[in-house]
Amino acid sequence: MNRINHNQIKFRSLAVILFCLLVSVHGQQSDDLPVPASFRLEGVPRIKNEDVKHLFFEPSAIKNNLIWDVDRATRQLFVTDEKNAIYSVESPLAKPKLVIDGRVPSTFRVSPTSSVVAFNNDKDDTDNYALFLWDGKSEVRKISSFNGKDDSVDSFVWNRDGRSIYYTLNDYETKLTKLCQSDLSASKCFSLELKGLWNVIDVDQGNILLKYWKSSSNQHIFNYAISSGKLTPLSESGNATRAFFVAGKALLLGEDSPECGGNRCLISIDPRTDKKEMIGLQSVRGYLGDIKPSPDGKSLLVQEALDGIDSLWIGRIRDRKVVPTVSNFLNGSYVVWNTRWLSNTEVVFTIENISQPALIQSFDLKSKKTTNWTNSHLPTVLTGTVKPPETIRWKSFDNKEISGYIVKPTKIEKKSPVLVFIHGGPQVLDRPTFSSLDVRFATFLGLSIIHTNIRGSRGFGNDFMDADNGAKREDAVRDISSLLDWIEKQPDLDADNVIIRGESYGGFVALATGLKESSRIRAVIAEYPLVSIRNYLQQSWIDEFAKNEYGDPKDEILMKKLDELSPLNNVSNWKGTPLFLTRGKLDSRVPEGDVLGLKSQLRDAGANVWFIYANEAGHGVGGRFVTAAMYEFIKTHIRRK
Amino acid sequence: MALTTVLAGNIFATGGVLPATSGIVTYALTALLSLAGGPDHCPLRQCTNCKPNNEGGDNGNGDCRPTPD
Repeated sequence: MNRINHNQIKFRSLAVILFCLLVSVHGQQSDDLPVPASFRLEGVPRIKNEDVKHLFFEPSAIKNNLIWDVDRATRQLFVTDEKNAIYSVESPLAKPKLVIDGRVPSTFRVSPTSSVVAFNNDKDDTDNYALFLWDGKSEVRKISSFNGKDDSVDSFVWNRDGRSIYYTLNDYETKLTKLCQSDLSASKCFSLELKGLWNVIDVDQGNILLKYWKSSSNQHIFNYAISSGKLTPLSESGNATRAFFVAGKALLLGEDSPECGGNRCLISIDPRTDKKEMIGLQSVRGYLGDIKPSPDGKSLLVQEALDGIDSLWIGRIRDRKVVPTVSNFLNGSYVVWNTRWLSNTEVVFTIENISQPALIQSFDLKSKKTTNWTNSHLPTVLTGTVKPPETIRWKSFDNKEISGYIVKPTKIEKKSPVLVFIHGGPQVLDRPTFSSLDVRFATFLGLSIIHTNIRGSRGFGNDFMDADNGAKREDAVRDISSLLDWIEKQPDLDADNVIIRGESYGGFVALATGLKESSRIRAVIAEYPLVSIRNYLQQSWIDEFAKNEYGDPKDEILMKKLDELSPLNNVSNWKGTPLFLTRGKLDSRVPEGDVLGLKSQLRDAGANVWFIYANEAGHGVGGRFVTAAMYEFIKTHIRRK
Repeated sequence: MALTTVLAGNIFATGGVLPATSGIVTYALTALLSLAGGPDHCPLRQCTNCKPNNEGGDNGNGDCRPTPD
């Protein structure tokens, strides 16, 4: 009996111990941040909820609205929100109503005469945009059809009467563009063979304005007359980036055009007579951000930045010049992301800055009254935690001035670690728009974040934008090296604690920097990066535009030189720098083999690689888990003193 | 608005970064002519990198901004 009792006690004790262990393990796993089912991770350690929960808020806690478009017929706005859905706002400060959820479109345009909406969306096939119509009541209807293997509706415009849509069907396999028209029930394409990449930008009175993309610094505007089928170049030299019709005449923004006599100007061209006229822009003193005609064509909304601050004013064309009729109506220091004419006398626009989410206002030209349509909001814990951004400038290896801006936490203990961000593109301009990621990382990690506009970025002239083309690619990487030199001289920045982050093309530069500057950086974050320019250029969809930027893939000497910039097949030069790497399975822009190959090569060489592969993402991998993992990666690799 | 007080009247602080006499300089050099917006300088397949919020709940405000045209 005693032996049986002893055995029972022993058994029960073991059972209790085992039960406690199981509860403990289960408890640990449920304390982890859930990994999305569509993600595959390698090298990413478990992330505890308690370590990252402070990063996240209810979606409504950060209110950040940008404009998709306006419905002039009903005076309502279509706006973004932080979940990337599309909402309608029917009156100032009305509660937004969800309109479209899921994958965001590229372009969303309301008919000028009704509430029918057209948008293009690559939900079914990443990077292949189809065109849809929606009347607000029935189901969304697709109006484009593809016959090729790699087609995309990259651009479309409404006709002024709202009865038809003109769009380009861009075939990335054959490198041809078709111009098509839909009368909202059926589509037809014009018998016009356009070689290369073309976009449609405006249509009026039987004429269609088209843009031909040869390169970023070499864009040309053409007019297509529907009745005669004649295609006429309107800009033959310089770089014409923007054009629109006003009263049947085409107005082109001329950069370096002879018609502008070395200055910037609008070039007015009457397609009926080919008569050209220069319209002076002397009233624009700063950086011209946008110029947009009112629906009746009588007024122009001008957005310009002076000393880094955006202003909006109204002008009219008088005596062949744009003259102000309503002076700057912005109240405060902001970046304006986008604008729309709500009517002939009312404009809507967004205002934001690095620490203030975007909100939407309207301005009435007659009453001069500004009205809030949405309010922005930030949780208290993130309010006032970062300083206003500072412009920074540094000289690169060739004495070229490179600039960017730095976001610093309000409280810095002696020196702050630095996160350097390199944008994609490369023909993109990084402006201090609201970034909740920046605010959170600066607040909770004490990071100073430097946003760079290295050579190749837009906003500094065509020469600057072309300064990284082809064989000059490494010069852009050297711009980052020279930034590291600059950081070393800053008394409040910790040059021993620098992490480089880039996305897409910026990821390529980040990887190249990791290769070159391993002794000066702590880690690299490369988000869905371009890895090998050689392999990128081998893809079937690569066109003239990409070759003008990156080089001729048949130039083996150039390709070998560019190979040296990438850690792919170059692992011995990587020197063990930790890497945070993401890839979307549906990313059709960057060869998957390059990213997976790089990951494997680095891991085999013993490098610490945190890899996130997202099965449902394309060229862009984000979301809560990625943010948390990046946060943990940075926290792990910056050195705490 | 309350948050504008954070800005001290300027998006960019001059601080010790720039000489006081230079003022706050735009991103533009004097020869700058270009316009804002992706469609003005970069076609769709080259420059857009929207990160749709696949999972929901992350108020991280990805890069899925409407093109500013």
